[in-house]
Amino acid sequence: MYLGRITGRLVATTRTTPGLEGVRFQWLQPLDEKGKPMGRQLVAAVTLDVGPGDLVHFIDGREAALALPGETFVPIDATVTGYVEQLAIGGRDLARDEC
Amino acid sequence: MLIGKVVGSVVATQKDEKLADRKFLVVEVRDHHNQPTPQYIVAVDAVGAGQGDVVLYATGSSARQTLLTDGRPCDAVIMAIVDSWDLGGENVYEKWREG
Amino acid sequence: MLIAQVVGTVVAPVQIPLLEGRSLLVVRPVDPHGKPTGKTRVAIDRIGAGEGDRVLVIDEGNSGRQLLDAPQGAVKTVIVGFIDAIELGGRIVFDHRRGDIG
Repeated sequence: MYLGRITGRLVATTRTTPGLEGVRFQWLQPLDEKGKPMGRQLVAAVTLDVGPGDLVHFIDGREAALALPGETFVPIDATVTGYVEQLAIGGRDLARDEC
Repeated sequence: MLIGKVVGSVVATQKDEKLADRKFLVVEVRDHHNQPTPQYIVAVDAVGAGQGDVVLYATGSSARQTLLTDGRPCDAVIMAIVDSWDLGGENVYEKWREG
Repeated sequence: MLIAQVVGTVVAPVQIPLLEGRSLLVVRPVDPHGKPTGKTRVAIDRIGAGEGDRVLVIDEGNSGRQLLDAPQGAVKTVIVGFIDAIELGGRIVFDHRRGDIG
């Protein structure tokens, strides 16, 4: 799993592969332990109540499909797994910083 | 998942029999601002995408989690056609506007 | 498996059900000499590790699912051991009481 910040929403509902009905997509910037961008932005499946600006953790690879509550035989390679309220690194809470 | 624009297709008459009847599209990888990156990928089309469509694609073993690609040698699959997205509250892409 | 340094803790009140009640730590992969290498990850802690600890991390789904006994679980990154020492070519390069050595 990795840390990331939600940066936007993406709509792709008109045409998807079966099993993805009801799955939302959001843009995500992966972050390192300093809260700095780590690699390029990607699109993740989202089933939790999170939105742009939120700090999250997410899972990649085939396991991303297993993080969905419904059908798990779907071509999903990144899914948000949790909303991070507090990220304590060396005594600082990075979740409160604008990163 | 990452996004890209369908810019062409690959014709390959001699290929592994497990890939027979699969449509291969050439996708120009785009970033979150819809700007082209230097990267191109070839993906199996699982949604009926066409030239000019901006699409979402999944990579790795997740790409084999569709009925079209299950158990087949495939590492990238187009799993949705993108309708629109926003970043930081700003609309970046609308399919209907592309014409 | 990866060698990693625990650099922080994560508090996440809203998570997928599998992760509820589990301790999550931020780990930074390092080489045997302690030099950062690779991407910073969030790992499920199985051993009670803390900030500053050098740990062994698996980052692979099949092993992760075995460890958590969750055959269909979305789990990949798990801290599985506390590293006491690392030896390279007959020389101790890390000792948890002394840190990185040369």
